[in-house]
Amino acid sequence: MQIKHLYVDADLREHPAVSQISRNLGLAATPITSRDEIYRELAAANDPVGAGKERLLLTQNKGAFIKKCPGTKEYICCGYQILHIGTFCTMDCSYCILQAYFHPPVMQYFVNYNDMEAEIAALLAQKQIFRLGTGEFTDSLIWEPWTELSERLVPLFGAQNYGVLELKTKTVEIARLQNLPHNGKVVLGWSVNTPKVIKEQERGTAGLANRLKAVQTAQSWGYNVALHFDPLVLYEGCIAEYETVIDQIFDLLNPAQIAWISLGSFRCMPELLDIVAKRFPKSKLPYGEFITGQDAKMRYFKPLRLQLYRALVKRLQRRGPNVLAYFCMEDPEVWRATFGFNPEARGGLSHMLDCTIKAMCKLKG
Amino acid sequence: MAFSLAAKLRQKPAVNVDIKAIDLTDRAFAVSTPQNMEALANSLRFAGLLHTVWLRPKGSHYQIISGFLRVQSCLELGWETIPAQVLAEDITNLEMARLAIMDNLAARPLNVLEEARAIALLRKHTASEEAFSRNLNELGLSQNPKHWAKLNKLLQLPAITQQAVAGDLIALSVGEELAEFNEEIILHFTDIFVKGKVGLNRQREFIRLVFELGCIKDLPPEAVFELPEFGAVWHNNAETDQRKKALLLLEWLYQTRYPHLTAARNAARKKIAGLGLDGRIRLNMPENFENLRHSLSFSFESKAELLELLDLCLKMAADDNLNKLFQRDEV
Repeated sequence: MQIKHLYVDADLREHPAVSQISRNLGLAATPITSRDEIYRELAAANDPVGAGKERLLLTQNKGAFIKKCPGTKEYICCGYQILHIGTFCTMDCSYCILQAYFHPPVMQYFVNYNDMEAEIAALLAQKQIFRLGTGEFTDSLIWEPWTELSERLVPLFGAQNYGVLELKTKTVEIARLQNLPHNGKVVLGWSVNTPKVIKEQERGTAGLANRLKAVQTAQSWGYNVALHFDPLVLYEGCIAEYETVIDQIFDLLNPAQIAWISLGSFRCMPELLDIVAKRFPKSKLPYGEFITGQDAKMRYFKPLRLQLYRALVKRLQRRGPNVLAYFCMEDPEVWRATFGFNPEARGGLSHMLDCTIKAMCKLKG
Repeated sequence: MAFSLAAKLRQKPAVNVDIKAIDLTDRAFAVSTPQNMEALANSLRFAGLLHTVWLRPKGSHYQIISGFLRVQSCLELGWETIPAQVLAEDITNLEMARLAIMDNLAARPLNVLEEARAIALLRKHTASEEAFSRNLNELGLSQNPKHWAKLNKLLQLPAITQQAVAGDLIALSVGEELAEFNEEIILHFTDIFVKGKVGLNRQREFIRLVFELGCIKDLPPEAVFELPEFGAVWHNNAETDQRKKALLLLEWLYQTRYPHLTAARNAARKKIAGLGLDGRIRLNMPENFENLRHSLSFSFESKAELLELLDLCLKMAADDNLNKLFQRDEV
């Protein structure tokens, strides 16, 4: 979807980023003193979620820029940290949790770069390996055409030796990253899925072939890359189609520059299913064989997840035996049944990922 | 408003009206739903009409403003005339509506269908939101627009479903959900809910499962009712207890919607049965099989019984069949 309305917190109207973004979007920024003005507009829309994707508010992040990924004790978390640069997304994926996460959902972009950079500096001062990503509450690269975020973040990470920044996307907006001094400390991550899922569930995103072409290009610019099979969606014939995607990845890419590949089956808060059913009436996604998981989220019935995981792990191990593959939010039983071990036995998943990037990105710590 | 209507009503005494001249099909001011008609007939036989009905001349007939059930009952008892207050022509439609509502409110609390009709009557005959709100307030009716919306949906349902809601056989909130479907589907659900005496939560489950099965199978919801398996359980089953049939139907819907989970539960039940547990010990399967953590429960009233049960548990733990509980079956 296209941004049609640009707003700015009234006290930020003179901020240099505002004029830059306004110019790049070709929209005048309307100053607001209260978000209620936007919320009222959204509430009156037939599709408030869709309307939220057409409205961008330039504001300040008054909370923390860096947050820990909210894991749960029942499922194993990768220990990723989130760099909170903004919220929501112009693309429209049926399964997107952000539809239910923000009330009401509206696109926000935080222009207080100095505060963000101060928090990153504080994290670097700890001199411990970390993985940080901007793709949790938004897509990392939708902001490329309008903002200078990458020009700020990539050189900053390129000049240090303790952490990696992952920019995770479903777009092919990589042109401006080509000549930035990333120094191997920035991982470009792509969410990948089968062409059927992309076509039916990921409205407005780049197709699989284009995404893979962009990954290939990023590798040619020296970037390490990551691939995220998340969410894996179950449907008849899905196993063969996901295996084909794995084959395409390894046919095209250099495995030595793949930092990690994650696998995660579709899971969500229960209320999201009603939103998907309403906003995507043709989608069959809400009618999977779900159970309530130990974290109160809806997940596919475990034997169905295991069936898919076993096949994909087998294919990944065959095609990329040296590439680190892992599950996003699965339990030790799943790990043992597929990879044959519990990450705890290898120091934990977070440690496994840290070791991988330490070697691959030449980190200290 | 109330004062002016009272003044108008005092002008005319009750008269005996030819009952055949009353148009029972004109239900423009009907609020009441069928109550205990037998009790009403008994009262009419014993004491006559205790409370006159209200009529309005309309062409060659009389339109009933209040007293639909009484007129109906008198007709069935073979009365030829009925005492009635015949309203003057200068009484407005809004006044008629208020009279109809007040007469019902004076007799008993309104059920949801009567409340829906009352509010719809006022809505129809008030010229502004302010007048509508004032009349609701004066009559002690709900001022909550969300409640009106629910009641309004009730009026869109087929008559048989409306009656089921009025009779508490279908919850109002379920009626609201049903209003989203076409009449054919609503009647199917009404049939099952009423005959099967299905409780509120199960009514919701029925609606959800039918809708979701339709989505999964690329069928409109009405086609789910036409599936042979559906007919085999609901229409052609040897079971005569409609309540049990409804439960069997729900079970079939669940099994079709969640085939693997149902199969896992059935397999686990078999495995547990294979352990031949003492009836006092309950072995609970893992919730949704998300992990393999089982639980045991039993109660006891003496140390001796506790020791006996623990001994039985130890025997169960030594049984090789127990290991089967911790093996996941392939899908």
